[in-house]
Amino acid sequence: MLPLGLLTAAQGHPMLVELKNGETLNGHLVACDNYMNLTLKEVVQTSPEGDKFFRLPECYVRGNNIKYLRVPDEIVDVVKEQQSQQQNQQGQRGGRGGRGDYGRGGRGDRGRGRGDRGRGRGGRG
Amino acid sequence: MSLNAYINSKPPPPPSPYPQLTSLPPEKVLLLTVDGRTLTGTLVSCDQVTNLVLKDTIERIIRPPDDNEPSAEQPHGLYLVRGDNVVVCGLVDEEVDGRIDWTKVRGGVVGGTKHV
Repeated sequence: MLPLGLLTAAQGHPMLVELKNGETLNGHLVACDNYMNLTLKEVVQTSPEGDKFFRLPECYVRGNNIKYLRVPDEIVDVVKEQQSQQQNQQGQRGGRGGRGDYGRGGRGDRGRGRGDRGRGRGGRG
Repeated sequence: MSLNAYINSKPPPPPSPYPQLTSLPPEKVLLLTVDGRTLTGTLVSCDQVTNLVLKDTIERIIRPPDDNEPSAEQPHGLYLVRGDNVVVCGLVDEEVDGRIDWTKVRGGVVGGTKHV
């Protein structure tokens, strides 16, 4: 499980994001990509001094501005569940030579990507 | 091995692209960040750009001797630190570390590593 894998698994969950300028954002993760760019919803933005608060219905964060993310503890279990499900699916598909040559990581990512898009559409509707 | 056994044998699993990173057991580490914070926790995962995932993260806030407030340890839970922000990540000797009450330790403030 890679750090960005954990992040994708955290979609739909609440999290705290601290930016390099010291601002913090508290909100629910809507989507993320491999640059760590994020979209959040229902956000409370806190100034670096911790004295000013802003409510944002939605926000976009460019990945390079992030210092760290605090995610709920249960996300580790979510990732483990997803991984075991993927392994089961791979087992059922059987060892077809051609496909088996792709790295496990590559195929796993693709699976997760599809799931994300589905969930995103549901949220907006 | 008969030919039949060969045909029915499963192909070997594809090699992991990050064998070193995925096969290591989780270990307790200490992490120093660019803004001078000290975090300890169990290293769960890392990648090419030093993004790190720490479990049961505790921030150590060590204050100088003349500070009225005591030093503190603040639990943060599951943490994903972006690689940009990492200065040092090192293995903790748990036997030595466990004998120290970090709330009683006093020391100079660790400065930031960004000078612009």
